[in-house]
Parts: sequence; structure tokens; C-alpha cells
Amino acid sequence: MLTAPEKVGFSNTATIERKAQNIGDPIARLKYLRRVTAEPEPPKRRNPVRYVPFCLAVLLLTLRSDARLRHATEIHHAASPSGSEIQGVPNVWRVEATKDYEVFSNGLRIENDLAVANQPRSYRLISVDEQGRTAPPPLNPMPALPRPPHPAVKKDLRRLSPVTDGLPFEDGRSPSQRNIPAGIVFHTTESDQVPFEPGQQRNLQRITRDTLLFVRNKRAYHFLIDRFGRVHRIVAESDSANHAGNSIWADSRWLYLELNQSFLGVAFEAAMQNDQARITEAQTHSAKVLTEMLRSKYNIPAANCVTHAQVSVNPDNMRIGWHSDWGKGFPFHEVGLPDNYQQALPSLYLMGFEYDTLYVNSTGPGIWQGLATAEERLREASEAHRMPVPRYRALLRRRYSDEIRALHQWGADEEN
Amino acid sequence: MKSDASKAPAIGLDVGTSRIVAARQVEQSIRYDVQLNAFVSIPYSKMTENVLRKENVPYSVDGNEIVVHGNESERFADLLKKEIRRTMARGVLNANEPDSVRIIRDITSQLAGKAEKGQKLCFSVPAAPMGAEENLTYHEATMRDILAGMGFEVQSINEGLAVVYGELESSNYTGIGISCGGGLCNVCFAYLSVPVLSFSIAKAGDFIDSSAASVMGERANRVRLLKEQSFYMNGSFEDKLKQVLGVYYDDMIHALVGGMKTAFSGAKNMPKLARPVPLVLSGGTAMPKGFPERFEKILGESDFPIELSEIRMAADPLTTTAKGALVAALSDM
Repeated sequence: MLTAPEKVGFSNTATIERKAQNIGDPIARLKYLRRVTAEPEPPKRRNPVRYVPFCLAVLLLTLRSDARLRHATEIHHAASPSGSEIQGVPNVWRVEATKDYEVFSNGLRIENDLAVANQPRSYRLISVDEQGRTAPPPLNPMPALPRPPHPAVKKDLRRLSPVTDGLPFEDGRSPSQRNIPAGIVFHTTESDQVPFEPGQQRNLQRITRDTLLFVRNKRAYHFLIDRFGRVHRIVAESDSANHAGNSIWADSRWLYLELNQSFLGVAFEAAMQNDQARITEAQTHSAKVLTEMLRSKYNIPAANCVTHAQVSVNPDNMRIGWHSDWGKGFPFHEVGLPDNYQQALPSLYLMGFEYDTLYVNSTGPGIWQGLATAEERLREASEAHRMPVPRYRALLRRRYSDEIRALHQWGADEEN
Repeated sequence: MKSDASKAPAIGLDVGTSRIVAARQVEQSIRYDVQLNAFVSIPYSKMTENVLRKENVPYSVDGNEIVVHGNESERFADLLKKEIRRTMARGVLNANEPDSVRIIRDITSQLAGKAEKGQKLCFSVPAAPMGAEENLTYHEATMRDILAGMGFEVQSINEGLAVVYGELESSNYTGIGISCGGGLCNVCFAYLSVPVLSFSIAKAGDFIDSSAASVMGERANRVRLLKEQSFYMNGSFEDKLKQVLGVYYDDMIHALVGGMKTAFSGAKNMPKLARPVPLVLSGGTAMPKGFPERFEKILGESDFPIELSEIRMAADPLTTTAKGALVAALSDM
């Protein structure tokens, strides 16, 4: 048995992990990790007495005022990383669990009294590369392993992918499946709203209760954050919820279709009034600590925490934005995430969907930037494949149909 | 194809008991070449040799025998109703086959080709089997010698670690990689790319094949073919052979899970894990449908001391180790 205890004692692992996470190219990331984890530990033979005054000073400062400590934390969050920066996954652990609630180390409390089971989560992994990488390749590319094309995927579609032109896979291999969440979709409940003020207390509580029972009955989300900021567990995390049926998202490696299975659904008790959801400060804070916990637990990349408007599609007319909740105004920064509105929409550049003026009107400048980037990628990919955009888009659409058919067939096989 | 392949800066080689897989980066993709790590000998005749040459079947002449190696050996063994012979057993060179070194050189040479100047090659080696800390030095040194003799700059990688490098970049190469091959099941737990704990167990595909074959009075080779073509886990079978295969699969999984529990429970200086870690299954023996579910069920019943975030199959179980070896070679450049 091989053990290397002397090598696993290295310190500052959080920093190492954060830096590594920012390196997109797997080879470069491994190179970095092997270098930093091979470095010898700095000598530790120091006189501990030397540090006693310093430790005491730190202790006194931190104990001096709880308010001061909280103030410092708020400042830190206000300066949280912007847009393109990928944030590290915070470390959150469960402190207490009863049948009625759970408490976590970052202050998150989840109410469990309405929790309900649904179908166990299980979804098929589809390689983005298999779908045709349209983004410029990284400096030192190491694409994901080419997998055997599904029988439903026609030969000409497979040819689109620059990374599957290796040896064909002739043996029938079952596609990989996964049962942990890959991301989070944020929703609004679009339920009744009354002014958030003391005189409306009874109405507020009644509407919240009705909304909770409704979404529970529908198995609509995994979590609901009510207007008082309370986090309610609805569908068990291990199960799928009915929150984003026709939907598409992708990260650097995998394509996700019909996100009910692969993504967690987090809903705010809110409505897009005048195309703008108004949520309370308590809701924003709860969303932040809930997102932290989920990202920590499942190692969810920040880029996979997106809104319903970004993922929703309508296969009947091949337009995006069948649902447009959180099409603008989602407080990504306050929730501790980069501005994910700016991400190119995979439904456009990987699956050939289009958008209409209705979608543009119900969304904001953030998503418009994502639309422009997606269109640019689509153009680049069609040029790379030497075909006009409409023809390339038609191929992508056929690919979408094939993948959906394969997905449903796979789902049926799984049930059998 | 050959010329493209020869330009690859590095090669990853999975030297398995059952198969040898070569991985090389060709432009934006990884190309895999696979050969069965086996051979069969047939009586020499001029006519047979001519046919083999005409059909481009890889062979060598050894006295009054013709030795067919690689993928074609399976077909010939089936035709001649003979068992295929292995250059390796239980993850290392087969001491009972005096020609194993020569034949494995032929197979690796066929896969890796002639080395370019400074071309790196990283090959997989198994971890020591639990309870029988066999000396792996001879196997590793011999393989190193063979490959260096072909002109490569050679390094080796633990097989389980290669699975981690091949599959777990999303968790910063932290997690458990398991390769269920022909001779061994290799397990490695890595933390931020550093191998913390690794071991192997000697129950794997060959154990299942030979055990089932002895019960059924069949040839192990035929059992293997059936296993690879139509067996799946958790089924209720009319077919007796499939029933028997299910029994021995369960036995292997129990041995693997038991080994993991013992190894992880007894490990000292384990890093403090901030979050659950992923576990990836790979290798041909893990490929029957239902294997990950069965493994997860048995592991779930075992009180395994490490919290897992997921248990999943590798994207392509047959080539994961070779891919990981290639990743290791490229990261050393």
C-alpha cells in the first residue's frame, strides 16, 4: 500500500484549490498542482512563545465587538469578485440537523417540515466536445475523452466536432451517468404579492403558506426562499424537481439538457413585477448562504449557477425564453457569484435555438451581452465548418432533436 | 495516421493484464489504439505464415510454432478452440510464460511505434496487492527497459492515480480512482493530485472468468466474450452462466469494498477533507450495465469511512488509464 503522508501535510490548501480552479486547461492545472504540492513545507521549528502577544492581540480585536466583525464581513462581500472571475467554493458544513431543520456553519438554516421525495436524480453526461466545441480552444488543449456517438446521432452531425475525429468507437458502451447536481437554476414563484410591510403580516404569511403547499404539491423546486428569508426544503436534494423541463445549459465539459434532473431549483417567493423581481434583503442573504452551502457540498462551479430565463427553451418553435423569470435583475454579486448574465447561451450556439423580440424585451442588458457572444460563437463555428449560419443552425437543431430522443430513450431504459 | 501519431509529443500507455492501450494527442483530440495483451501459438507451416502475412496479422515465428499476438489472438484461439495465453497475470509479467517479455515488446512496439527524439512515454503500473506485498520492481524495471529500448523517455504512473488524472480534473484531481481490469482492481485516493493511498486486489475480470468457467466447464475465453457482449448486473437470468457470472461479480465487488474499507480505515495521516470526494470507476470489468449501482449499494452497506460526493463511471472506462498516463506525461513537459 502506498502512502505519502509527508506530501499531504502541505498547508494553504484553500489557496491552492482556488488558484487551481482558475486554471482552465487540465494539463496546466495538474502541472501547477504537482509543482505546489511537491514544494517542501517551510521549516516549523519556531519558538511558539514569540507569537503569544500577536495571538492575544488578534483574539482581543476579534472579541471586542460582534457588530464590528459583521461590518467587516459585509465590506468583504461588497468587494466580491466581478464578472469574469471564477470564485472558489467556500467551505460550509452542517452544524446541526433535526427532522424539522438543519443549521450550517455559514448561518444557513433550512426548514425541513415540508420536505418531500420525488424521482431519484440520475442524468446522462453529454460531452460538450461531442456536441461540437465552438469556442476557441485553450492554449494547451486536452479535450474530454471522445465517447461513442449515440446511434441516434447521425454521421454528418458527428463530423461537426473537431475533437471526435479520432478512432471510431465500435463497441457499444453505456453513456456515463451521474446523480449529483451539476448546477443551480434560480426562479421566481410568480405567486401573489402584497406589500412587504407590518400591516400585511397576516396576508404575507397566508400567501407564503399557500405558495409553499402549491409548490410542494407540484414538486416544483428543491428550495423556496420566502419573503422573510426563510429557506424551505421542498424536494429532497437527491431527487429531481419539476423546475426546468425544457432547458439547456453547458459548462466547459458537459452539456445539460432538461435540467430537472441535473440542476437544483431554487425559487424566490417573488414575481417579475414590471419585468423586475423585487426581493427582500433577507431573501438575498438567504440565497447567498444557500448557494454557498450547495456549491460547497457538490463542488458546483459558479458558472453553473444561472437563472431560469437563461436556460429555458421552447422546442415547439425553437425559441429560447419560454420562461423568462430572472431575465434581468438577479443579484449575482450579492449572492456571491460572478455576473453570469454575460455568459453565452449554450441553447443558441450549441443547439441552434433563436430568440425573438419578446425575449429581448423581457430580459436585460446582461443577457443581451450573452446573446451577442453566443451569436458570435455560432458565426465562428459555422465559418469553421464552412457552411452558412442557417445551414449550420439547422444541423445543430437536428442534433438537439437527436440528443433529446436519445435522452428520453435512455430515461426509458433506465426505468426498465 | 501513423505520421500524425509519431508527431505526438507524448504517449500514455495503459499496460493491463488484459489489454494494452496507447493514448496520444493528435491535434485537438486523443487517439487511442488498443491491442489485446495476449497471444496464441499455432503449429508452423509455410502456408499458414503466408496467409498471416497476406492478412496483415501480427505474428512471430518461434521454432516450429507461429505466435499470433494482440487482437487477432482471440479470433485464432476461438477458431482453434484453444485458450489464449497471457503475457501478464495479476497485473505483472507472467512468470509462467517464458516468452512474455518478447511478446509484450512486440505488442507495445506495434502500439507505440518508433520514438521521436525526446518523445515521452508514461506507462501504468499496478499498486501492490493487499495482503501480498509482491515485489513489483521486476515488472516495472522490465517494462521501463523495453520502452526505453524503443527510444522513449520513460516514466511510470500508478494505475489508480492515472484514473484520477484522467477523470477528476473538475475536483482538482482529488478523489478516488478505481480501475477494474483483467488481473487486478487498482484503487488510488489522491488529494490535489498527490497519491495518498493506493492498493490493488487480485480479484478482477480473470478471476470472474476462470471461476465461472470452472463451474460451467467452459473455456475462460468464451466466458469472457459472453461477459463482455451480453452480461449485465442485477438481472434475474434464465441463463445459468449469467447467474454464475453475477455471483462472482458480487464476490469481486465485496472483496474490493472490503479492501477499501480496511485500507481507508487504517490509513494514517489522511488529509482533512473539506468536502465529500468523488469516486470514479473504470476498466473493462466495470463496464457491465448496473455495475456502478451494485458497487454503490455494497459500498453503502459497508460503513465506508470517507464521505463521497458521487460514484460514477468514467466517460470511457476502457481508455481512462491511458488518458491519465498521457495527462501525466504532458504535465511533465
